[in-house]
Amino acid sequence: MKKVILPLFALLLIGSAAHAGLKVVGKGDNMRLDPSGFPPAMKASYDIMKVKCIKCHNLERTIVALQTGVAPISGQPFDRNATKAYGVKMLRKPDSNMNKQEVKATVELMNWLLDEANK
Amino acid sequence: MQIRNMVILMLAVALGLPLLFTGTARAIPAFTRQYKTECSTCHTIYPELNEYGEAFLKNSYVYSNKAAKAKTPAQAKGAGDSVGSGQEAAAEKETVAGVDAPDVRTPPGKDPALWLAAIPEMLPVSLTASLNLAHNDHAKDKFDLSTRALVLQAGGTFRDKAAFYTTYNLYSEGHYDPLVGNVPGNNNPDLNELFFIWRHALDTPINVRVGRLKPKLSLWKSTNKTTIASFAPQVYKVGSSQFSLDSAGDGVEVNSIVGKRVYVAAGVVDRNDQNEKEGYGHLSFKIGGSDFLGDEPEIDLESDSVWDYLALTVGTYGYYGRYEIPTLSNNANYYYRAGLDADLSYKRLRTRFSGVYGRDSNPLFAAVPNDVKSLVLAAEAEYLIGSNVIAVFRYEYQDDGTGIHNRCIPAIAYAPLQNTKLVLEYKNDNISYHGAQSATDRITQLALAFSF
Repeated sequence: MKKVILPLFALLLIGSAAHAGLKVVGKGDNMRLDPSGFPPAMKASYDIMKVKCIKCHNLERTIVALQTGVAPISGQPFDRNATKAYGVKMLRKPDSNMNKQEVKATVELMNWLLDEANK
Repeated sequence: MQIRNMVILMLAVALGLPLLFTGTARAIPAFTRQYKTECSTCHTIYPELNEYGEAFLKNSYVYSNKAAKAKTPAQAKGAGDSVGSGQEAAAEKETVAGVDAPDVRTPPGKDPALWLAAIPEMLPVSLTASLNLAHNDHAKDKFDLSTRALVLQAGGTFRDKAAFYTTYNLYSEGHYDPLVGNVPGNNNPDLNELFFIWRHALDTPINVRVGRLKPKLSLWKSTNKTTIASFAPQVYKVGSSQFSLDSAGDGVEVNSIVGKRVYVAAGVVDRNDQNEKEGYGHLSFKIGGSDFLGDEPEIDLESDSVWDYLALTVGTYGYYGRYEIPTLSNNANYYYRAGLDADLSYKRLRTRFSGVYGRDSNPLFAAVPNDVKSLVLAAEAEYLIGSNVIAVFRYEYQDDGTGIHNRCIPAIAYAPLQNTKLVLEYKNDNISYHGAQSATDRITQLALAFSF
């Protein structure tokens, strides 16, 4: 009996934890974060992200990286170093139309989201 | 007047086409399929590479040396109910039964059997087609609409340990004989490149490339451009010699990234019916911008610096060769090329400078050798307008022993979709032949190329 209950209990813990991370709505190209629980500063940063980042790729790519800790295309770790690197990459991308303030806000948001995903 | 109207019409068509194409661009050739990423990850307007494309090329078609550990499903909180592909990507690395070695663990989202067998999940094949409308006032057919070429490309990696690349010319427009066919025939299909790369051989940073390859000489392959015309330093030939910097040969090359910002390559080329081998070397370095591994520079997001956007790559190379026609063994041509390239970019502006000096001891393979020195220079500036239009201007000077060419080439390239390119180009080629009158060729081309 113990052999059954303990794994079931562990499974329940995992199951409940799966709902405690990032709140995501939609799928594929329509995937978005639910910012209702964001602090005001992060909500403002999310307003930048959801407009600027989808110029070249959908938000699913970013959200999957935040959730899994792996950048889906390169397979590289997606951590705080990576968020800064991607921010710099987008800053330097000629047609991204992102300035330093916007990049800084987006990097801070991704770092906060990484922390939230790991809670 | 008729010509002027036609040029105006072509310009109007080229500039008006953007209005006909809207919507999200999705490109699909071999690497795009394999990595599920847009063409614009590696290209400005294909086939011109951006700095990430250069890094991808130098890393043998692998993004980076670093491998990531995916979180377990429990770690990937929130990836559960609403994430389709995210759930897949978050899956724990599967371990092949009985094998614990990290390098054979299947990465997230990969089929374990295919990964273990090192077989790409998709057949990594793509095609590129090109159509041209050319106007040449000196030609009999002043406006020539042609279906120019269809090229098969394949490239990919075998579990990041090895890579391959090939291009095969399926069709290039050949001779037209109205008594034989209603359209021009096909030149003989031929293999342009086919090479295998042993990536990080023996766990060293050295890659070994073997097969039919274009030696790493210039900073850029001849296809790395937005224009129709190739860079003269890469394609010019001297006399009857068929050698150009960009000609493929059967050879072996070792190359490596040293300290992230230096790239070195050296190789040997074996020509059929020639006992002596040919050799070459390349050295380049980069200041500013992302490094040759594709890693971003350290940038302070609190303050501005000119180095935030400035990148300079400088490369130098040399090639030494010898060729003799088997039936004329005493009439060998000994030749060399030495070149210097620079690539400078700042935000939307990119400039390229290229120069090569060469010497051929007997490029006509004559009984009485006639030594020829050659000097070819090119300078190009291009500016990205929006995200899918590039305006280009290039100047070329070419002294190849038979005459001196001064070329001015303005062009505008437009990609309505990332896999579709339209180029309007004008080439003014003023030629001063040694000991003869000069002549000027003026060619206007509208080219459509698409890959799939």
